[in-house]
Amino acid sequence: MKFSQRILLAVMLVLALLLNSCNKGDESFSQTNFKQGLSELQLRFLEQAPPERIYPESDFKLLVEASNLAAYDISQGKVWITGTFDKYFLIQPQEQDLLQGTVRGMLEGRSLLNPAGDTTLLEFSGKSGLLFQNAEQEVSTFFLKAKYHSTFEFSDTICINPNLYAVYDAGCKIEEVKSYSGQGAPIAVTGLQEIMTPAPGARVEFRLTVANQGIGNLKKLELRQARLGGESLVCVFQGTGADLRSLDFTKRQDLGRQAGQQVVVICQHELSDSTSYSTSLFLEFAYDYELKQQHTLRLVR
Amino acid sequence: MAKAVAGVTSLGSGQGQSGGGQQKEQQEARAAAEAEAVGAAAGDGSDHRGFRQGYSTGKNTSSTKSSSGGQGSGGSSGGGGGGGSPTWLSFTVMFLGALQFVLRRGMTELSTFIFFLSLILFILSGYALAEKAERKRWSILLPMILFAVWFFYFNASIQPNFLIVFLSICGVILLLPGILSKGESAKPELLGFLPVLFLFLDIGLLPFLVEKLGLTLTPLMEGLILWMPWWVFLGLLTLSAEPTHSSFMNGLLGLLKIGGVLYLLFVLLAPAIPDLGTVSNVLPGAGELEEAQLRLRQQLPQKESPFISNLACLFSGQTADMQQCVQDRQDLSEVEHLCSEIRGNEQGTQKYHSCVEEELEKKKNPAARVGGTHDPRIKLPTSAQITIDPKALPSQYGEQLLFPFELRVVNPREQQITVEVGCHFVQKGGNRDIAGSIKGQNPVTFKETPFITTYLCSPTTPLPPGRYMFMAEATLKNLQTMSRLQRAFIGDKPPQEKERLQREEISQVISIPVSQAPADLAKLNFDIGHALGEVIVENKPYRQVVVRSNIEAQGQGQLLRVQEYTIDLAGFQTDGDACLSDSRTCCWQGSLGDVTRYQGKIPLPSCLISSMPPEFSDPEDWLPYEFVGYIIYDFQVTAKQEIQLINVSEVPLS
Repeated sequence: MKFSQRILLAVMLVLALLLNSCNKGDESFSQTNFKQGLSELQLRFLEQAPPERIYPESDFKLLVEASNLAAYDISQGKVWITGTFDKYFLIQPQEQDLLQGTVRGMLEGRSLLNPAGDTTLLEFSGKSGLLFQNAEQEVSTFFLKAKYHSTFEFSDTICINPNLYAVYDAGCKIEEVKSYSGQGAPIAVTGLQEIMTPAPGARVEFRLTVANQGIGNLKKLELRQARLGGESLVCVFQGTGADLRSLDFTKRQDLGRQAGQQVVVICQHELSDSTSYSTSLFLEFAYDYELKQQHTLRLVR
Repeated sequence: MAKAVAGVTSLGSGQGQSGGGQQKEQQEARAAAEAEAVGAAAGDGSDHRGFRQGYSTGKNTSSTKSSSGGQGSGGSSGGGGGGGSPTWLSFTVMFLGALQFVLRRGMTELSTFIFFLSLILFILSGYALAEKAERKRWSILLPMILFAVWFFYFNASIQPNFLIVFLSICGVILLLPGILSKGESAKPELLGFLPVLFLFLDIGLLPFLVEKLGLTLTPLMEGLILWMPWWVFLGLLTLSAEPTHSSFMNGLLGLLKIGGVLYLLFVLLAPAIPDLGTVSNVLPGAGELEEAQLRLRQQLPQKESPFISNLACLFSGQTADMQQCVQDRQDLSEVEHLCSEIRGNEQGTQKYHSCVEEELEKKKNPAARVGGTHDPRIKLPTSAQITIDPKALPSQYGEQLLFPFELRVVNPREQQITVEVGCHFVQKGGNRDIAGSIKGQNPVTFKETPFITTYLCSPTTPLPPGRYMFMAEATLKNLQTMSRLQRAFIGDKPPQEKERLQREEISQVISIPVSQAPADLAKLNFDIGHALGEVIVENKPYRQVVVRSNIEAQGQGQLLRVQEYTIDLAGFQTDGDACLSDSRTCCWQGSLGDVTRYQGKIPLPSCLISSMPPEFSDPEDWLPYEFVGYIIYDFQVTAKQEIQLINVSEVPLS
């Protein structure tokens, strides 16, 4: 084997190693901070529920396993099936409470006490009808949907330094722009911009970009609380109407997927102290989220 | 030293290799052997080792044919032949690919290992393909790395903004080496896309189509994607043209390569074909295609060519509303043909003009514009056919002549059908129409399928010698054909939500916007909604919901009577009872004028939906519903055969 070929093979093997390390795989439960990255509610049908082939005038089950892999509890939610023609596939009930069968009336997220998150099983009963005339089969597309309410939190340590031009101030350094990969939910603060107005009349403004990183659709976002250190922070959603701390995303569908599923939150705070210091920035959001999956049912002779 | 080793290896492989470039290899081997001899004379130990290696390879040719062949091919391609990858590497890829395929089918708990194996195969196949490149093999890594970054780091994002930036960067990265190397890196870069494609097919295509593009994958497509051992196929492609000594095996491998390429193209293109895989036996035979085309041609009304209509409208200056102009010309040509050719009215006469006016007036009826389609899920429709075998017909004049004909009825739904047959003889060149009588039981009622019976027709009066047109007809009574129409009820939703539902969900569930019926002898076409073919039905006071319908004959024959037509609108209120069900009978027997009066489509009364049930008027999400209608009718099929009766006494004796 030529030297260059050996080098090429070695490089490719290293590449394979690197690529494999990119694979997320199963997250180890030894990680203590679940509030990072992208995680969300997962829905899946159990094997053979529904079955691959359904025969006329027979009963079948649709078993949905809902696993909350996010780092936050789901306090309300429902799962429903839509898109089936009743004369071929009558499904009852068509809608179920996501939290039925849960212990504390909520689907817990992943935490130290519950590293895997809560899982619940929902059962839909189906009854098939007759094929149309002498059709050989009927393939029906349907959608498994879920809508739920949950929360997520953002916190970071930021530097407050009103003395931008102070030469001898050995305080912290402001990072004007920061980016984040997620907080363990499908919705996340992805970026933070800090704008400091120097003293006198020092003021800090934070612009946080909140975006939907999951596979579903964000329906509503509400800012529950915002704190800078121990003090409340005044925040509004950019471009909202009367309710500045709540945003209905269903009215933003015409903006497209990317623009319509993200918003900028603007927080401002007057600074009384002229010295620099590091403090925590904390925001808590509540959101309504909708997931959708497409499946098929097949009625055969 | 390296050259000498390669040359000796080639020499050893040249003895055992049967492949392309053998002559070139022998030349190289001879040159290398000469160089080796010089090296050996100079006392270079490594050359001696190389010589011994080559000598032992040559001695053990029979036992090391494949390995030396592999090395030879590697050596030859290293020398610039480019015939294929090392055979051992190709077979390794094939073996690991087969292992990965088996594990994926049987041991899903090893998903992580299987995924790692896919990546290993990704790299190995890239290395195997690199052997095909003569120079700048490093460039093969570029597409592979770029794909890995897109797929794993950016989660296969297809957002347009991202794609514009990412693809631009990729373009620069891929073009730069090509420019700097003056095009030498082009081939390796292109080869680098092959492992990318196969990795995508192996682990990424199915979820990409479903999750990213929102396509509904049929079971056929899923099977094609999931049941193909992609890496085995790639290993096969990386084999040289003649990897073995057996010409049969080489030919077989070549055929497998071609078949695999076709399979690959089909998998990549098939998702674009709607409804592919929704029914079995999608591809009809050649005979079926011909029959279908013949039926279609006979069923279609005779119209002016659309191309001619378009040209005429263009040159007449009616470009403001071309579509309406073309439609008007089409309607007029159809009506003119009907009135002149079918009804026999001479052009320019008063009768002809009245006929044209009457038929044009009928075309304005909105019910006549309602269309329908054949239900693709029903492969076996109800059909009837009369066959007359010319060889079985008597050709000599006689007192008792019997003319046989066969009636074949395909009745897949086992309907109770009454069939009454008849026959007559039309003298050619004269106006005589001699009735015939049928021997045996007539009419008959049956349910089975197929129903095949031979009837014997006897002229009621003796037929003089001469030429006749023997006409056989069968009237099938109480036939029933059902039609269905799918609609989506969304209530009162904002336009953006309606558009989103249509785009993301409703279009996936309801793909055929018109009514569907089996390809029986006749069918009911009906439409329910705000506009023809509009699938979504809203609950808005300013948008009316209209029911429109017509009956259309499809088979080769005549629709004689419609005993009943019904559209099931359970729960929906209409503004008139005539729309729901009408048991009137329309009899066209006995008058030729009446039979052709409704050529094509018979319009039925239209009406408005005045109210709908609450579950339809205000669903929380959206509600799909399938309406069903049916007709009960009589249909007549005919067949004819020209016969000539000769007088036996007139036949000259030979």
